[in-house]
Amino acid sequence: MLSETHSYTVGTLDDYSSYHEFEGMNLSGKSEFFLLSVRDGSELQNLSLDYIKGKKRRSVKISKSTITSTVSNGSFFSGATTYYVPVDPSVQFSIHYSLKEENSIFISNFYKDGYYESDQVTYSFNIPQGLVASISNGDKKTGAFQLSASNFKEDEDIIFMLVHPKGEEKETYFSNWFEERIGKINAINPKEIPEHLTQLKANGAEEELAAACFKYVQDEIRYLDIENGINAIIPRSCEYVLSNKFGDCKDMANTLVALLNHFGFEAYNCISKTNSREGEFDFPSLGKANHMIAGLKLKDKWIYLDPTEDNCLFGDPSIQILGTEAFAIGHKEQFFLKVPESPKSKTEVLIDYLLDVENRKIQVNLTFLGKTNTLLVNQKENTEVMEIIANKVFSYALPLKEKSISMSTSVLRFEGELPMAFLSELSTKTILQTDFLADIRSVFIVAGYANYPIYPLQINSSIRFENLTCSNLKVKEEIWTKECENNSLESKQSWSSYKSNEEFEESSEWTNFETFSQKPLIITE
Amino acid sequence: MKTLLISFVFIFAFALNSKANGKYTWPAYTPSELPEQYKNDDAVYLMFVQTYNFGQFGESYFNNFQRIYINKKGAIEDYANRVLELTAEGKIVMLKGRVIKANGDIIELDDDKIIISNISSGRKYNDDLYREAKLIYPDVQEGDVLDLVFDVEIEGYVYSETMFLAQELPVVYSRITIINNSVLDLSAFPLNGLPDVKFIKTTTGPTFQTEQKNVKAIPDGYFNAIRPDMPKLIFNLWRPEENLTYDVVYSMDYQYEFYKYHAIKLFTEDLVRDGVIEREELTTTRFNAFLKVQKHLLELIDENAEINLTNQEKIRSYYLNKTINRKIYKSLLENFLMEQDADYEKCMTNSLWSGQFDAKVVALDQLDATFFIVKDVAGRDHFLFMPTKTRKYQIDEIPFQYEGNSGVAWKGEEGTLKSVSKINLPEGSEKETQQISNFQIILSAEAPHLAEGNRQDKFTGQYSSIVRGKKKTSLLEDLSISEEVLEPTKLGDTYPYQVEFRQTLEDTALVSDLDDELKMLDLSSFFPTSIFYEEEKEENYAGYNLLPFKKTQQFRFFIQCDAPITLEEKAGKSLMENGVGTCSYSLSQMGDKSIKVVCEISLKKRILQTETDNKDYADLINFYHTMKGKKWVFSM
Repeated sequence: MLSETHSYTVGTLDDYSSYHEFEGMNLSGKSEFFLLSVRDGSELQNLSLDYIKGKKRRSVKISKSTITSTVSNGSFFSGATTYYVPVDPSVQFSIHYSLKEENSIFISNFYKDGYYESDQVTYSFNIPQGLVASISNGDKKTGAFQLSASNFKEDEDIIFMLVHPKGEEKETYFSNWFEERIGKINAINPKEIPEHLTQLKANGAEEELAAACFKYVQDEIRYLDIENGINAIIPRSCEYVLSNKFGDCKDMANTLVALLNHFGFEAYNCISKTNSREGEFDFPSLGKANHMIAGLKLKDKWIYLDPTEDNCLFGDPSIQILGTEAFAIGHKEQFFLKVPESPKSKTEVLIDYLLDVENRKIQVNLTFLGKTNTLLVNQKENTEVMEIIANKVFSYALPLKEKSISMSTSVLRFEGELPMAFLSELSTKTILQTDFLADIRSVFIVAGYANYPIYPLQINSSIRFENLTCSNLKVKEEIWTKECENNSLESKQSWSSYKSNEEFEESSEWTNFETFSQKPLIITE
Repeated sequence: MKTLLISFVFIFAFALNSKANGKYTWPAYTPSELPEQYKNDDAVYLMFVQTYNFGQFGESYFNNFQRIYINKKGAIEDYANRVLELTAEGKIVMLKGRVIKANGDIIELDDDKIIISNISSGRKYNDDLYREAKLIYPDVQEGDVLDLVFDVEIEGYVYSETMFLAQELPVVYSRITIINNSVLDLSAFPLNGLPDVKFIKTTTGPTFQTEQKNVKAIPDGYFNAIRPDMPKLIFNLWRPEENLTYDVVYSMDYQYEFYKYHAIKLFTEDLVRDGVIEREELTTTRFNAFLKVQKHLLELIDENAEINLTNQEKIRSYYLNKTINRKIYKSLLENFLMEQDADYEKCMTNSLWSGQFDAKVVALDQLDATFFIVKDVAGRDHFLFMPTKTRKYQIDEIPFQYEGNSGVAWKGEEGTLKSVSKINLPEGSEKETQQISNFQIILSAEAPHLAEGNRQDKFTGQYSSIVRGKKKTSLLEDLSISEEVLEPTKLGDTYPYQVEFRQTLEDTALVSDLDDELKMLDLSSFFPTSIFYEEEKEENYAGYNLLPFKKTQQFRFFIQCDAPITLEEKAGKSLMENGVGTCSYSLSQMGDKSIKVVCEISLKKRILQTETDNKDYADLINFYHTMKGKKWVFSM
């Protein structure tokens, strides 16, 4: 049993305080830690622990035994501090503390079940006259008001909020807030601009120049997520990023935008969400976003550039933002933009099997084209990753004999023995289990870093048999598009894109494939 | 010799500098061509220099200088952002980094690129607090050199440690130096051909140093262990004018423990009064009485108990309150053995993953685990290991990390060591550690796709201590036995401690149609997910690998039907056998309504040190996984 009470008192847009109380019972029968995390930049005040007996409260000293940790597993460094408050077994307790903070833009998201999946959660707000809290359910509130479970729709787990001046549209305020701060740090020193970019500008090669700017940031700036303090949401200066050659998504996007703007392109920093985060980014709130990209308007068309994805081709959105939304800072006409669901480049994988059942030999060529090739290009030097790929794609030992990796196409050739366990020799026929086929979920991982298709994807397979003719084969037709022809079978699978593994596993596309792909091949004498 | 003295002056200089205003003189760097032998490595340590300096006032300094050459782009991600794990004890006196660009430009790391993070594992007692130092090297490219130096001041002396010249990358030049300015004596043991060990008496204190060029990397795979022949240095810092011998360690241990924890006079009387043992047993079956006491005390251990030992009386009060911790367990057991004048030895060893125990070297760093060897009435030796945070060991159970290692055994009297001997801890065989799983699978002609039946899983040896106990859900899940807590139906009370689980199988989907006549049986869900750990197929087996234990796992499936059932595959056995073990499956028709499938894997070799061993192990893993996935064809 746990209840949470949170109250937020806004002074100005740049000054607010909050009070948080968690009351419950430690039922575990042993001492437990209560963990609370405080963002870098917030000032923790009056952290207290009370044990409650009836109507009496006894304050417990926690300063000595409280353990802190400044490590967040989510990033290289987040700056957040986690406090471990020990709570004795079988006691009713109350943990409460205040936070003093700047930037009311951080008042952004509120969970129906609170921070600890509590039974009862109440959020109270006090917004001064002159300001308004826009809420994702469509409400606008000023003064004192509350949110509790009854304010959430049945299928709604989070409510988003933005506090902004009355009379100003929330999107405009959100955009201006970022624009003002980024405007101060995105000046670019001409001396830092690589010569080859200046040369391209002089040659008038517009698209080539934009692509070169993208490639420069993508290749030369090392991705490193340090998200402490205000730099959790505001990029570091271009000067810092270009001299140190590292940065997080915001640093890389902002540097790219600054470079593009320097050369006269219309480019915007776009607050973005990756497809790992659920829901649509349709409300200007920090709680909706977890990424930043560059939006380039070239020849009246938007191009979404995410330099954090190594080897992402210019013009293609990165895999993690395909089909998501982005908020273009400073683009007054249309703040929310839709990132295409499909890449521009090819999204095709070819799998060719050559089987010699009699001699238990197998050869497989895996060809990754266009976008599906990104991971292989990124990892081409990493022999360990190549081994892992080989071991994941096949459930049995099939050594990688040869690899040919280029930006547009990569081919992996595997060759080895067909395990005895895949063959069941009956009196007049042999059953060949389909375990020899590549594990399609692992193919998805190679093609898009997730074990489900995150963009529409074509996988074409063919099995060619040596020492066998079509008359020897009996196959289920469902996964093979053609009856056996020229000693070979063919299968073409067009996969739709999915938002999550859960959604994919529930799809008929997957359940049908899973059923039929397990049907063995029957080889008759 | 002159060169060596100069290098000492240099070491002292930077140790001194390190404490003064954070100024530090980096070792000189002269660019040179990377030797041919490293051309294929992503990165190498050009220098790896470790220095211990024991001060006059009870403090220790540890200084580590690392110089990494980034040879290939792949290493940038691994080394441009360095994470160092440092103990939470002591003070980081200095932590610096710099990049030496290929053109000679030097970029020192600003304060914002060096982050110290505190980490807590979040346990209330014995919390493992440690620190991470994160260094972010700017603008790193192939051909750059990354320097790193840190100096940690530790309150108190580090009395003993085992140090290696080899690291996770090849090292072009590796050096270990130990400088002793303390009032204690320093002794160092170069082992396994550690090269160029020098011992010099300087004005500031005796110093040891060893150095080597072109040191091979230590592989860092899941099963990798320290090779027994790996060159290493073990040092001790000890009381002056006293050799650290086993006599000294034993009597110190005795005095410390005896006065602090032992000496509950007449503990045996408490046990008799509590009915744990009968008084007569002490004369007739004394070893059995010891076993009863051991079991009784083991049950009293409470990991969450907050125990603060200050005097003799308290240890008795904890016992009388029936709440003890692991330290008290050990002390009470020894107290009982002493009171009964039992024939026992107190023994110490260390984990085989940290290297082979060297009984000739008396070093505190090797004395990691305590166990007793107690003789029974027939004079047979029995091992008893002290419990850990997660496991409680019964008599004759040897935790797998110590199996096959050596140790030292002490026999004493009233705090005086009477005899000392080297002992070899036996390595359990594949016959002792077993999983035998029997499945009775009943099919019905009316509903052929759903099976019923039951399963019985028996574990012995190392498996026994793994699956015993109440909170073993994840282990049972890994073994594909149960996703929920499962109480054993039988617990053996003699080694190898059989643990048995029985379950009913209901409406289990195992059978699918192959065509109108043939059916397939899929038994894969009954097999453990792996042989030892989930990602074992992705491991690159190389170097010296140590598997946890030898073992046999056998899965016997008896498939019965109420109608005739015929095995369509050729009956017989498929086998893979190599130097590491065997893996096999066999199938047979057992009458017209019954068929049998038996699958087995047996690991007979535990230490894999040749290419053939590693390949054989990988082959066994692959055979196991294909066997596990096999579909068995039959008709009904």
